[in-house]
Amino acid sequence: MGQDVELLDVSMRFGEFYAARNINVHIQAGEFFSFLGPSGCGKTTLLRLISGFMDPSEGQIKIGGKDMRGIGSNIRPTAMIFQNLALFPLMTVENNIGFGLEVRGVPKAKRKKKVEELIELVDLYGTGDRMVNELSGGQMQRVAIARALAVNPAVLLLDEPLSALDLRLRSQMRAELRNIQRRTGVTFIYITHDQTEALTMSDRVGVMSIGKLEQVATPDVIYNNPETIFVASFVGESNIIQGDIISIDGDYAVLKTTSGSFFCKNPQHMGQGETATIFIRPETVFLAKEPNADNVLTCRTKNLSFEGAYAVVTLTTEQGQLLTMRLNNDGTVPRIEEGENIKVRFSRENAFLLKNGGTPIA
Amino acid sequence: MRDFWNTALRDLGKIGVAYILITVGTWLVFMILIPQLIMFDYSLRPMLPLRELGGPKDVWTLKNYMVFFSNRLHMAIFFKTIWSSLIVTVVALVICYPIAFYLAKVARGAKVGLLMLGLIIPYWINELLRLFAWQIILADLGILNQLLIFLGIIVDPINFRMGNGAVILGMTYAYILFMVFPIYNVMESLDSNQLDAARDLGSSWLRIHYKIVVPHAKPGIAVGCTMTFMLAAGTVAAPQLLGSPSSFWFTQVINTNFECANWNLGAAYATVLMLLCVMFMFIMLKIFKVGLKELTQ
Amino acid sequence: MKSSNSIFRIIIGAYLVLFFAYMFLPLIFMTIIAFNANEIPQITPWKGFTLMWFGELAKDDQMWSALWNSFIVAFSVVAISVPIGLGGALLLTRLQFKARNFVYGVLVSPILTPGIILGISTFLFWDSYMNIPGGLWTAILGQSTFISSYCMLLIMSRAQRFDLTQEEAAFDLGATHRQVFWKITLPFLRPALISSMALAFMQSFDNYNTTLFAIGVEQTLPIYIGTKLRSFISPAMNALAVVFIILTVIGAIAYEYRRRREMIKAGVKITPVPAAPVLRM
Repeated sequence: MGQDVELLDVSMRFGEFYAARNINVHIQAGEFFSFLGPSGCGKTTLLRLISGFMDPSEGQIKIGGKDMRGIGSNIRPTAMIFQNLALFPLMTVENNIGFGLEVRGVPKAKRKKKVEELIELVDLYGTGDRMVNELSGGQMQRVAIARALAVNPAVLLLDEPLSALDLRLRSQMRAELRNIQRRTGVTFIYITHDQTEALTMSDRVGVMSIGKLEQVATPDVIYNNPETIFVASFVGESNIIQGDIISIDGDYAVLKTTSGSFFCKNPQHMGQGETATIFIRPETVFLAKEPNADNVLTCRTKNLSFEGAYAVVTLTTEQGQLLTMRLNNDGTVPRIEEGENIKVRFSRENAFLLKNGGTPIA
Repeated sequence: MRDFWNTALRDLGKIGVAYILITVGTWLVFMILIPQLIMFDYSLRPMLPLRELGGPKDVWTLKNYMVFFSNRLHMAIFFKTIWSSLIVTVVALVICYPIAFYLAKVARGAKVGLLMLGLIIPYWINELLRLFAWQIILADLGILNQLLIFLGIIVDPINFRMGNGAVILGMTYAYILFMVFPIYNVMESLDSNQLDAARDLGSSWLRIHYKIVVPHAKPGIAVGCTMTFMLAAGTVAAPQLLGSPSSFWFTQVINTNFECANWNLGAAYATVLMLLCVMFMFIMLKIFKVGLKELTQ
Repeated sequence: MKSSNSIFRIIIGAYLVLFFAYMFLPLIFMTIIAFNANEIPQITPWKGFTLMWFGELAKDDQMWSALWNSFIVAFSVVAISVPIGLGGALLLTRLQFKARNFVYGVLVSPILTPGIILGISTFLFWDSYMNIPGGLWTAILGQSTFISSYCMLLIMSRAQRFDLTQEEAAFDLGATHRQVFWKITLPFLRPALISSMALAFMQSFDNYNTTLFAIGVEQTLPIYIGTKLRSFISPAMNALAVVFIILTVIGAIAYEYRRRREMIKAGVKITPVPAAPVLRM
């Protein structure tokens, strides 16, 4: 059913401004792939390039192995779900869903059957002859999905379609989208600025900064092993400590910082003398029980916010390095007062060295 | 430029682009630009007998314009047209401003709809018939004279159509609604909260209008004045129906030129009228500090 | 404060009454006179109620032929101006180009040009350069020059509210340009197109200044009225005025009603005037 989508060195320029620059990614057939990035990072541009509303300034887009340059969006095997849904307000639900079939000249009886199937698939039973603006937000969403699926696309493009829904509906629709994708086997390319959405639904995620694809990987790799500071700081909370590499030990290295020297994983195999950044998730920072172990910092508690299942503690070292710690409320956590001095540590397995550069998201 | 065509073709298709080019092209070239240019060309050539057209005498000259500028009577008529149109414009503005403001910001609910209909109906009634109504009122045996005689103010009927008053009166009546609607339109978009706030702060209503309403309504006032002036200066019907036979108006002079088959001179006079209206528009834009761009919103 | 407020209200009320009296009284006089048996078109002396002026009007062959011409011209103007207006509206709302504001200015300039100039220039161009003598055809072209601008503005104001992603969605679902236009764009623009047809018809039917210079020796109804009013005034003209006023009132109310319903349906703020474009520039 689904087809693969290949972006080869794709750039899109508007005047002097690059909305996308040298993007390379191969999205597999039948994959649920998300582009995740802040607004204005060029992810919508990518989607519009794939759907054929415009052609890239440079590079090549292949769908199912075929070069798409010059092929209009009405011929490409893609269908798009727009951010504002773009339902046809002057048509009924049935006519909206059947539109793609109608313009292809599918006979009426066949069309009707297909539309009924889709109405069932997206759980819209009994709304067929209503006008679309009489529907609720969630129902409109479903009409948009059904309308796009009606033309049997090989690739479904979704441009933040859930952003207008309320929180509860959104998580419900997430599950349904994933479900529909599994059942139909269509390649889904999903665009979002919401990391939870990207991480929960996708097979793979591509994280974008301004015009640039930073990392493509499965959700757990994106979260646990970000390759750039941008990815590390955009996806999830993170602590960042800067310093210089003073020694190398196999896959590990020692980074000297103003707050002390730390052992870290060195996945990118940076050399001695390079400046680098340590990246640590707040949930991998713990209270230090043995004061003389590695990677221990003495900090003052700046702020403590108790959230029930966990507490978030903001710390600062004597040298002014900020650190966030997330303590699970497992019954072993001692009372911590604001302003108190405590020792915290992190394991070398949970600390990664990343190259400096790029723009971290605060 | 290539981008422009690419996007155009992508968004509208070949037929769509061709449709736009053909319709707008025909309109722009054959209905707007060329006729204007030809009128201008005519105004720059001397009137010649048919056999001399295209001959050595058929060259560009300012002679027709010289005829106009050296004709005292025609100049006087021209200035009369200017000041009469100005009077009409100013009177219309003064009368319409409160009406527009009342409709836009004071009246509420069904009243607005009803009053609006009361403006729209006369607006749609033929210009000639609106003038005809005044022709009847101002006639020697007309209602106005009858009323004045009945009240004992006059003994013998006044010939209202002797001077220019009747024409000005008729023009005001016929074109006043072209002032109301543009002003109403912009006032309507003024945020009422601003007015309330100003009132709360103790501004007098005069100050509120001077500081808030008028600055906001400027584009509408500029359009209203331009339209009213243009209609008044360019009307043939008002002087034809209400003017005295002994006192011509500029459009009538133009008309006479054509009736006397001196098209070249007529074209020159028409060009002068055209320039007057264009100049007036730019003066309005200048006075109200409105850009062409703002007008286009 | 309260008393000054009520004085203010009285002043406003009086002003409105005066204004609308000014607007309507002349029309009412004109109407009453149509039913006065007096041969001079005046209210006094009242010589009894009569419908004879309508009869006299109906006997006038010139009036009928002028009316017929008016219909021919008005329908032709609709057939020319609405498609042109649509083209202009699409050009200005759908395409981005540097000279956009300039082109807009040129395309609305006919509205700001005195009608007689349009009539004269149209006549000169067609009569002497294209050898098409002045007549209904030149009148149609002269009128269409500025009526197209009105149509364009009217269609534009709706086209500007069009959500372009609807077209993109239709393309994306496999529609051709033609299908997109007929199934998506045109249905959206339909109310504006119908309104602009009505507007074009009324504008053409009422036009005097442009027609007078463009039409040569032919007559439309306004030209006929103008000629009559300049020579010998008979209450038959009042009868014609009454017919005109009645039709106008019916037309204006029907048009207004339809327009408001459309605007409410579309969920947009109601703009005051059918000819709103004039006013919006």
